[in-house]
Amino acid sequence: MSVRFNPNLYDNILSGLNSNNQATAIAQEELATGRRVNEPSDDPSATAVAIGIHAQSSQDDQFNQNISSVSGLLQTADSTLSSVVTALTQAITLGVQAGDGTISASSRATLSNQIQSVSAQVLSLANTTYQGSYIFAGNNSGQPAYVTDPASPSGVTYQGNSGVNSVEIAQGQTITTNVPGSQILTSPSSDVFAALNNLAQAAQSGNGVQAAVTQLRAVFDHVTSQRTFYGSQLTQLNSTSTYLSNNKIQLASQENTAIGIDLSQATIDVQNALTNRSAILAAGGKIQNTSLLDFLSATT
Amino acid sequence: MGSLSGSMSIALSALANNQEALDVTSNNIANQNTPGYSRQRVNFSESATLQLGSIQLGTGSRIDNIESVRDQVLDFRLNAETQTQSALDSYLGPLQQVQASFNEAAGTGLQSSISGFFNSFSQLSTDPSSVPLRQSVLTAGQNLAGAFNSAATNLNTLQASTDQQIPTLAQQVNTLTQSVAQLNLQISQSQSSGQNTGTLEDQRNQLIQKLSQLINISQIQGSDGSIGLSTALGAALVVGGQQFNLQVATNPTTGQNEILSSTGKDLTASINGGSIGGLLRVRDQAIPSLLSKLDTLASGIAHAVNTQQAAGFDLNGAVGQNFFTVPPGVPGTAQSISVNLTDPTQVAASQNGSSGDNANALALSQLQNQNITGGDTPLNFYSNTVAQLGSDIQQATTQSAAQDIVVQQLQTQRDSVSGVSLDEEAANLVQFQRAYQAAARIVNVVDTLTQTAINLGVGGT
Repeated sequence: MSVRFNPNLYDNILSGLNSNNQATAIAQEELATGRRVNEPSDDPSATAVAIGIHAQSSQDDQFNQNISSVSGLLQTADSTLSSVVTALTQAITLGVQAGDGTISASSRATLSNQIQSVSAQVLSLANTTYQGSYIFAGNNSGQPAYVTDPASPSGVTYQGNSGVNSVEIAQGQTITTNVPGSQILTSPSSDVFAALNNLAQAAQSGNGVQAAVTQLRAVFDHVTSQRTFYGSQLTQLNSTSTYLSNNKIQLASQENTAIGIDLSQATIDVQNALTNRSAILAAGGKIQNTSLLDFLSATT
Repeated sequence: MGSLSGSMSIALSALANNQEALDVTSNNIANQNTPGYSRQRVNFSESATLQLGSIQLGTGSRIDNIESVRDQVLDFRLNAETQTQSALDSYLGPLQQVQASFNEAAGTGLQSSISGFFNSFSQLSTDPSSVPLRQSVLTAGQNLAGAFNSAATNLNTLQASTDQQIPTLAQQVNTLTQSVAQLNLQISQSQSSGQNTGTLEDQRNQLIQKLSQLINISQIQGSDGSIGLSTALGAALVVGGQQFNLQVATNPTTGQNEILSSTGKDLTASINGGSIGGLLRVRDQAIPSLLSKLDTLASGIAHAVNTQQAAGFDLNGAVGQNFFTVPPGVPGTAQSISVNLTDPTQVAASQNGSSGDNANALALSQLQNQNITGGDTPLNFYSNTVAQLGSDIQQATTQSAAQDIVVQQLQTQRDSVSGVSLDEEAANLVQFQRAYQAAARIVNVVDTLTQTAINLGVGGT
């Protein structure tokens, strides 16, 4: 007796068609979504990589937003300081005129008034706000940095504090976003308002004008050198922003490598599955449409 | 010496035997597509011989029995593999639903809520006194809590719906084992009276195969033709004609269904085959492990954020209150986590109490890079969890595909033993038809001869 075979060949055809349908569905899902990995079980480690990439990418977006808000603040501060510098230049010019021994007392009084109005202008610049916050008040930025105070020798009082804020602009990289007014405008060794006050008084009296101008020049140098802080922060923001853009491109390409589709492979997969299906169907159509009975009936 | 009547009776028995063989062939063809049918075979043997002096005379043939062609060992193996296959399939079904809610490849899972929450603090750090930015922090916190809540609710719902299927399936097991016990009784009675039990055994095999799709069972072939069935921990289901019910009870602590043996022994943890085994694995292992990961994640984030809040001051200069409300223990955190803060000014962005200070907001946003959840950063912990889920499903899918092939091969093997082949039946048909025709021819010849014998001595016709 020969080996008996399974007479029900259609079982094999059916399971062949089933697994073929599955292969087609997978290849078509890949093509439809553009992703090789659509569920965690498709490739668990690639999914974990994708989660990390998505997180980094959304953090990068946040860093970019941080950079644009911070650069608004820094630019405002920088241009404000630029106006302060211009005002101080003007005050120095006025002081030099007042120091000229040939001018009259009344002219000096006029110059003194002009110097006082420069001082008022600097005060208003020192109380510049950005989005409602006083930018030279340290981080006590809810109230004006300086208020006029006749009791004070400089004529103003600093209401801010010495706090500085830092903002994260890239993974592990923070940037300082402010310099307190107490450091930039009214440091103990270099007080803008005290120097302007001195100069105004010296111009009024005609005594010690030279010394007052020298003092104001020193203050001017101090403010100018402090101002470079903002310039260098802005430069750093620019270069970090470029880095973030490059990083985003790199992340997108990493994501594509991890879970993206290999287009030609997926197209070939679909084609293979379809060809395979036709083959199974053709085989299924041919088998067993005859049995011994067909031949017997012809003879009996 | 033979006799005409002897030949006649041999021919008549041949007619009857081949008639019966044709019946069996006809029955085989009729049942070609009946699930679980095993082809039947007629076993002929010679009748006892007559000893006449030195001559032995044959007395024709007889039918010993009609036998169902089956390989019991193959049936047992097929049932055992079916249990594994069915367990894997019912394990995979619910897990596929679970992973659909962790669709991280499309970027719509929990990751975006976690990132969004910490990023909102980073945004706040650029303008710490801004109420709109503080409001976005609250909204991002509510999104995160909501994402945890809905993920946990999905898992709990799935767990409950898995649990609800258990009593129905246990009931089906009991119905099936009852039928098996009845068939055992009929089979052993019929066998003791020498009857053919092929059809009854086919039915019983069908039932045991259905049973194998539900629960893991061991089979023991009894000497009286009965099959004994037992399940996990050796708990008896069928012994001979006696059936033992599985019982379903509610666990007082978990409120979930437990399966008990007829003697009240808890089998729940040991059932690992059939769809009951697969569903229990989802209910008792896969979902609880995932829920506990989510709880660890939610609890880790909540406690770290609450602690950092307490280290800072809100917009009004008050010490930061708890950001999140969480239960005292870790379990259930994902399900119940909610935002405690009610007003945007309560976000503690400041470290020194000044409204413009952002140091605490910065510290809050940087919590995402610290190992605050299960010894890992929140996103690493989460991506490991998702990868673990994915690889569990991937492994089960691979196993299931392999198991399908094993079952299919065994089915093919079983059919190659027991399946009805039309070619074979056609050949048998011709064979029995010819034998019947030849026997009829003998009757005809004997009839003519008898006629001749009767007419002996009568004038020739």
